[in-house]
Amino acid sequence: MSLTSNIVLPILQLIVIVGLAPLVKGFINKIEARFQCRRGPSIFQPYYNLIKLLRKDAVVSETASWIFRATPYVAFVSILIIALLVPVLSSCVPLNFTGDVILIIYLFALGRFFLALSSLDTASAFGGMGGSREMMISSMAEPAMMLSVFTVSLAAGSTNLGNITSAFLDSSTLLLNPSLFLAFAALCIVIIAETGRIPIDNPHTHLELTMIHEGMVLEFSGRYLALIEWASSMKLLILLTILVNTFLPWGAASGLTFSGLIISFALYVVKIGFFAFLIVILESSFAKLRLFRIPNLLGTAFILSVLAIISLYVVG
Amino acid sequence: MTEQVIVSSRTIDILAVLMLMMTIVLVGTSRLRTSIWAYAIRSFLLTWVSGLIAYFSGIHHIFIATGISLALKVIVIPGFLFYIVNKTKVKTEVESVINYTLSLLISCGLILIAYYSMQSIIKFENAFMGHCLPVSLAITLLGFFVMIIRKKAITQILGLLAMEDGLFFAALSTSYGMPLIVELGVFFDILVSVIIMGIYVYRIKETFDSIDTDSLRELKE
Repeated sequence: MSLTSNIVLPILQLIVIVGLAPLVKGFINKIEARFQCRRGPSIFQPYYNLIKLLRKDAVVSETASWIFRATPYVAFVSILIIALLVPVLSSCVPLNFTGDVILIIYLFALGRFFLALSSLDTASAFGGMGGSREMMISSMAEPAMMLSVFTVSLAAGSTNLGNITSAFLDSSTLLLNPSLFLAFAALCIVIIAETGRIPIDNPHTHLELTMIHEGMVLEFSGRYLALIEWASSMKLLILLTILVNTFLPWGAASGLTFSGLIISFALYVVKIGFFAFLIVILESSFAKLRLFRIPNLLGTAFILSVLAIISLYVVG
Repeated sequence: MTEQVIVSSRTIDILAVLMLMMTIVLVGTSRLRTSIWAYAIRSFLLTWVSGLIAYFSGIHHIFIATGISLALKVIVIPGFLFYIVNKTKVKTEVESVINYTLSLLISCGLILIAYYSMQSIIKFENAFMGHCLPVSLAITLLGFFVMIIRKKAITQILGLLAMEDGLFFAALSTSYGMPLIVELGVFFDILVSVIIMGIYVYRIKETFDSIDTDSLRELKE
């Protein structure tokens, strides 16, 4: 990569991920409201919320330690680093030399770990409950995510997301592997679990007994809350990006030409919009699962990913 | 030409894997209606596969088998099962002897056994439609497993149908199906057995006020 692309690509990628993440959230909320015959808030409402929260003072509990203050920054920055590790518009990745998909999984885990710690830190009852539930879910979702991602890496011959995308772009029959279908199905379930969407967790609820992610962040306010909300919407967009650019990479630019980037951006928006629409349909047609039914669903994801990797190993 | 062969064999493989996923749904779901839908979708995928194989191989009697299987397995049998569920007004929750997570793990083990035991044959066959044989064995084993662990009579019928699907798929993918007369016999057998079992379900419901097959033990002196 030349010097200009070294500068231009990370900036473009950060603008897309950081800037568009609240829009995706607003889009999902708006369409979901339409599905329920409501007019719904404006599609830009998440931006207004962020601006309002950033202007407000943060209230911190007297018993909270430095972990509580550090958590929003850790969560936000870990997601920012991931944003530079995934291929977004082109198959070149800005931080290609530092890490691969395993680092991405661990960075997600780092943010989640600090959120769980901070939820225990203020000693509020809801925080501890939310934290323990989140850890339970992630302990089941993470193996499934790792195995399905490893299946993709084995099929493409690299653990680097950029290399995976370009490998699938080069060969048209490589993606027609049945094992990748299993991995795709597993990854879809995992993404719903990781982002706390409806069959697992309801992102709109603040009812004490059912909240998982919202329970963890209940004590945060002001700019801390803004950072955490922003990070969680970025997490949704990044996971969708990983899904889109590994399994449906068509149109992603392989070089850094202006016209190629425009085309790949348009296709990227269409693909992300499609998956956001699927999430809306899923959320509108299912009720939230009971907490003790969640292992059932995530167990299915785990089995699908195990099958994916084994069938790839046996059949090829 | 070889490109086309790769694409068509990969398409059949993908449909086979989707059939396997529908069988996993049958093991993992707790709803009766979902499991009947899973059966209908799997039968539809099987019909699709047999249509594709008939088209690629050009053997006429597979077309006939495809048509019969479309009418029987996709429309008549699921419709009849839905009719039974509505008629007996059973609780729509599936009851199982062991819990769902454990049964999912065991079924994962069964599928692994299927893949590993077929490994040597797949290597021998040059990976053309390599997923078909393990998947058909896995569906047969899972059907057997569902018959063992589920308590309700209707889920046991679904297990039997899964076994039949697995055997039909194995015959279809390895040797382009059995002779037509054998297949007609099997289809007729399946239809009759499902109807007889449906009537049994209705009688069990009338006698014991549930379709739990465990209560059949009360018949003892």
